[in-house]
Parts: sequence; C-alpha cells; structure tokens
Amino acid sequence: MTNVTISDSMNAMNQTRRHHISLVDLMKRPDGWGNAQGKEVGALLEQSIQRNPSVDVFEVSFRGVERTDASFSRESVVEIVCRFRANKGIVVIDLDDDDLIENLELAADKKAQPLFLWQGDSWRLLGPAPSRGNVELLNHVMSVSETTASAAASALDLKLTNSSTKLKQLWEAGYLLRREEMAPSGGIEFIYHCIK
Amino acid sequence: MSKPVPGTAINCKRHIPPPMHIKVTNGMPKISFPEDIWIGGDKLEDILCDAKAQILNSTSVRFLIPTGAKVLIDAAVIFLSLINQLATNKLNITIDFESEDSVVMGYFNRMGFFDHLHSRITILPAKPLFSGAQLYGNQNRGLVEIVKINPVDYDENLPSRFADVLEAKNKRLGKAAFTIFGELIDNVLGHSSTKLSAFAALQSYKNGTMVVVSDSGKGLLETLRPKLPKRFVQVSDIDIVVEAFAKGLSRHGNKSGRGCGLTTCALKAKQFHGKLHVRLADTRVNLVPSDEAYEHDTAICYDDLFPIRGTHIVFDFNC
Repeated sequence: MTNVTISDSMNAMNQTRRHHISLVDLMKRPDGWGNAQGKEVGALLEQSIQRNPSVDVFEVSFRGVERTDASFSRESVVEIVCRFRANKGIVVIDLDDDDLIENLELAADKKAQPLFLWQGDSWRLLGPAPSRGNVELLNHVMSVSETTASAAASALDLKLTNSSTKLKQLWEAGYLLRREEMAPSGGIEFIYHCIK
Repeated sequence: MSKPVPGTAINCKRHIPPPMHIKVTNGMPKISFPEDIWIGGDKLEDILCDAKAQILNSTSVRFLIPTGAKVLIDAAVIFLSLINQLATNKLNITIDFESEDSVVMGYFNRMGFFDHLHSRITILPAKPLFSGAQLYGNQNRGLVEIVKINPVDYDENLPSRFADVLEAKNKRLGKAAFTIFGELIDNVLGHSSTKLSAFAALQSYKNGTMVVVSDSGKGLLETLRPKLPKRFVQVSDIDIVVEAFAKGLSRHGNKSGRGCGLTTCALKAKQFHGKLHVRLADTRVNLVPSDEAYEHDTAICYDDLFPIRGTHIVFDFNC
C-alpha cells in the first residue's frame, strides 16, 4: 500500500514517482455507498497523497472493492482527483467491473473531471472528453508518454503557439501533468506527460 | 388511476373509479380496502383519493383491510408512512384486519409493518404478540423486511443486504441494485428533515421484484425547487422530476458536481427495464423506460392526490 516505484521508462532526470494505494484498505468493507462513507474514504486518500509530496502519480487500486454507488465514487475518488488537478496525477487501476466503472464515469462526468483508468498498458478516459480540437493532441501524448510544445507541434504539424496553448489547456483541465526542465537554449521548458 | 400510455400524453388527470366503500358512522369514516384485486401503489392512490375529504375533515379514521386483501409491498410501505404522518398530526387511526387469522395481517407482521407503527395507531382485533420480522428476519432470500432508516441510527450494511437478495437472482442486478439502494438511502439521510423514520423494503414476486424507499421528510420538489436556477421557475413538477432522474439536478447547484444520485438510479434501473414510480406531496410520476432513458414522453403524472409528506420511490424490476 505504501510502495513508491519509479518508472523504468524514464531516465534518471525524468523519473515519475508512483505510489500504490489500495482503496479497499481505506474502506471498512468491500462495499462503499453514500456521501458520508465516500467523504471518509476520500479524506484518507487525500492524507495518503499529502504524506507523499514527492510522488507524481498515485495509483488507486480497486482490487477487493465489490460494490460502489456513484456518490461514494464521487466523494472517495473523483473529488480528490479534482482537488489535485494539474498538480498530482491520480489514476485508477485493477478495475474491470462495468458497474463500478460506470459509477466512476458518472461521477467524473458530473464533476467535469477527467480520470484515467489503466488496464495494463491500455487506458480508458472516464469523465468528459477533451474539446474536439484537443483530442488529437491528447492521443498523441498518451502514445508517446511525454512531449514538449515544440515536439508536439512538429509531430502534428501545428504552429508552436497553438501547440503550446493546447497543451496548457489539457494540463489545466486535468488530462496531463507537466514539469519544468531546462531547455537546451537555457530557458525553462515544460514537459507535458500523460497521467500513468 | 388511468393506465400509463407509453410514448404519449403527460399530466393525466386521475381517472375517478366507482365510489369506494366508504361509510361514515358518528362522524368517523370507515374506509374499506377491496378484496378482489391486488392493491399496489396505484390502487392505494385510488382508495385514498376517494376518501380524501373524509380523512382530512375527521379526527378519527378506521381502515378496514379484509382478511383476503392482497397488498403489494409498495402500497404497504407508503401506507405505513402515511398513517404514521396522520397519527403524528393527532388523527386517531384504527386499522381493522377483521380476524386474528387474517392473511394480510400475517403478511404485514412478517414484513415488520407493526414494528414501525406510531404508538397512537390502534390495531384490531389485536396487534400480533410477536413480530414475524424479528422472528424470521433475514431468513428469506426473496424479501428484505421493512427497515427503518433514521439519520442517527441506521444499518451501514443496508444497501448490501438489499443487493444480496437480488444478486442471488442475477449478479449484475445485484451490483446495479446496490447503487440504487445506496443512492436512495443516502438521499433519505441527506435530504429528509423529520423526526419520522423513513422505511425501505424489498419483495420478490413471481414476475418481478419491487423495492420501495419511503421517507416522510421534505419532498424532492420542496428540496429542489427553491435552489434551482431561475429558468426552472416556469418548469412543471413533472419536468423537474424527469430532469432529476434523466440528467440530474442538485440543490447544491450545477457546479457542485452533485445531483448524480437519482440519475444513477434511473440509469441502473433502466438497464433492467425497471419501472420507476415517484410519489411526492400530492403528485405521482410513473416513469417507464424507453430505449435510451426515462424521458418526458414516457412519463405519466397524476396530481391532486391525497397529501402525503416526503418522497416515496418505487422500483419495479421485471426480473
């Protein structure tokens, strides 16, 4: 539950620190329902996140969770994802139950909060899709894991300012994370990366 | 009541049936339930509507439920909420089951009806000595006895208990049902502001399963209407109810991201072709699922019914 792992796919400078959280460990039982229980579990999830300030992406595992309703899903997970939007990545893993996914999706839609569900290397976006003009760019980042405005502009034949604006929009809306790095030119450059 | 006509008209006026068996003796109305038909929520409305003036203008009322009467769980629970409300308003209520061997009294006892009655209500010939619900509770896979839902004292495993019953029939239905019960009970805990307890119950029948959640607090419309944006001022009650179930409305405002509970219930119920009945202060909306969702053109509304406080929601699954 407290393991922090570092992605092998990133080099030493670009490490993504991950932290695994078992949702059922935060619940009193495998079934979760209602606002009150959801808020209790959400508070525990938030504490777990705050206790690990160096972590970039938190993987919330649904293994062992049997049943939920939409209010519980909203308060325990989606609300917390919303709270850390653009600062920390929170993804859902170990979940393939259609009903539980649907409840997360309904909550994410209602909160207008994107939430990524990862099943191995495949992902599914729960919640609102990005605007039509940003879909292609999001798909591109998801496929290359990370990019800069200039790299994305060149890959998708966009103007640099357009690429930069779109990436910022996706980051602000909670579809991507970003970090600052020193550009070869000496200035600061944003590296946008998928939430995984 | 007139039968819902899918895909057509809205806001039907209630069809007035032939006069019911209402007798007034020394100023006290005696209202008889029919014995020859199943009494579900719709039929209960007819009985109450026919006796509306007599009940509202009396200090004492006697309900006669003949021994062979067949009462469905939705009618039983909503009737329980109603008579508790009337008793709280100092009305003297008597329920006469005619005989201690009454079949319907035995069923009511098994469901725990008498465990939750207001102390001012009189039962004839006599209240059962032992509660069937307490003796045999949780032993039947086809029902969940009437359970009290009180914000300060409730069973946290309640939605799981309801879902377990349905899961035995159908795994996915159990999951969907958990969502429905969770959301409805959560609504009761969050929205009802009353000293009267709310109730929930489930009964499986040969042709389906009926679930009822009934509270005596502020009704859905009373809670929602004052908090809705101005564009809803001219919107009818039925449209607000349909909107609440189809798209979600929240008293906390649209930006709160809340208000998905009823929508979720409707979505899950629709997946199992469940009919949804919402009884509010003097209105009842019956929602029949269309291909996509519960929609305006498949909703039938009855108004000017007998006043009952609270929100009473019935899901009727065809499985």
